[in-house]
Amino acid sequence: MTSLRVKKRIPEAFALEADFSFGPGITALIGPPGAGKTLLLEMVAGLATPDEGRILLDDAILFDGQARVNLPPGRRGCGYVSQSDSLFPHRTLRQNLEFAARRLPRLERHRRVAEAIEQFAIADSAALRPADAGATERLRCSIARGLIGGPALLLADDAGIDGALFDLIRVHFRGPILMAARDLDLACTVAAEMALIDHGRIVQRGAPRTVLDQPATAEAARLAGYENLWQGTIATLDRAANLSRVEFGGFSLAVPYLPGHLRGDRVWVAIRAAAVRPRRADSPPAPNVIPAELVRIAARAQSVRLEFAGPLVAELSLSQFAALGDNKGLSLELPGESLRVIP
Amino acid sequence: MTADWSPLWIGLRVALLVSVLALVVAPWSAWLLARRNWPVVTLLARFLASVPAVIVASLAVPAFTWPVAVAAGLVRAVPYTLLACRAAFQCLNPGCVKAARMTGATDLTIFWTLALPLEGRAALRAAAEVFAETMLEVAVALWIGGRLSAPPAAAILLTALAGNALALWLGREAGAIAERQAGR
Repeated sequence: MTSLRVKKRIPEAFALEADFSFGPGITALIGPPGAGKTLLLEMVAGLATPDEGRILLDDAILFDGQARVNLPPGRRGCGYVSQSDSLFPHRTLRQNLEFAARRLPRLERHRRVAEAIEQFAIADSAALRPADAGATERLRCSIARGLIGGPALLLADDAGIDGALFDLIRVHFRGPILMAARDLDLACTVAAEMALIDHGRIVQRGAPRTVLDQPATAEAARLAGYENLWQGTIATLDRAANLSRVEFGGFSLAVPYLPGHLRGDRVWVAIRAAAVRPRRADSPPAPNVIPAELVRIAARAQSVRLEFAGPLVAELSLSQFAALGDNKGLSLELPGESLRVIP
Repeated sequence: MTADWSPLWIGLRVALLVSVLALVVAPWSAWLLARRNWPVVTLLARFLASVPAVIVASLAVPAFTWPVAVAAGLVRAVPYTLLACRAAFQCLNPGCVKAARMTGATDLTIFWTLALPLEGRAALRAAAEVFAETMLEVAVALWIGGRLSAPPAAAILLTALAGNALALWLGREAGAIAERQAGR
């Protein structure tokens, strides 16, 4: 179990404050660029020093501001895969691994390097310098370098590791992994736990599905990929009909009954772009249908993104988009089951 | 009449010693200063690097001998080389430095294994420039003292030009190596 309770003030930016623990498995830190993910990872690694707090890895104290304990990076038992290309450019991939293993006895060093080259399938590029090797081999070598010292924790900083490579890492490393990422899909695929971070604060954390389906705050909803987010006022609360109505500027939406709320309370309502259903003018009536003015159509590889005045965004599959016809007189259905009401 | 070539030998001796000593002292100091921001040190170094110390010493010191010229040359050469090295070290990929630290590398290890191999040419280039400039300074100092005839002056000028050409070549090579390492 790794525990973090750290504070660090970044002049003219934000104050990073984090207090959380994570166990075995992969924990994903999700946030926009500049949210503090890298800084948090660097504080665990020992590459940045918190102003105060405490970092524990299992029973070992890595940092304690009060007791003035601050282990250097090399003694923390952490492997680190950085965001940028950080292999030594003047050394071959093999020599990069040898450098990382240089403190091991000679025979052990040779064994570990040979093992790492085999495990991460970089034998063909081992004699090449990073500039001559492919991007995949460089990334694999960076991971192998992070693991070659036998760390107790692996820190992966938005390094472009995909799901398959994480599977490979899990085969050779069973310890905890703290990864910083922006890709929600990747985090959802590989992580056992997810923490949303923005402006240096952990906004929400938990199992990825829970965090994604039940954002606790508007900020968490935004980070969890809810592109449509409005603040409205509760106009009706009907416990018997299990129905509430939330009023916004020019429209209202029916949502399930909101226990613990009063009429007049302000709440946020969020819905994912993929859950919004554009409807043609001749469609049969349905609840939660609002008029919308189409502003822009953006084609994507597997979908089409429709942007409406409001702003409001809908994402459709290619076949759904084709079924809409000429896109004139569209209205939008916001299905009640897809709406998330956030206090 | 045979020309007196001793000014050329004095210039070579002084310039070589100054360059080598600057090369020994400056890079490590530059590495220690690369990650620190000491504006007073930077300002002082910039000032010293711009003073023609050998010429000043030839005017100010009554017994102007070659060891004095070496000492005076170092006053300019060390800060000059230090600033050049510091600027180069600050361009090192911070990801590489962090990766080295994660493996337990000390400042000295990173200096030897990363900073010098990758950015050491900046030090060599600065030393070549120091050599050329010190040669010229010695020539001017000797000329002011009335001890310089035309043939050694021409030879000193040619040697200084050669030093400058070497510095330019090293600069171009450093750029080409950096591009190769970046895979461009």
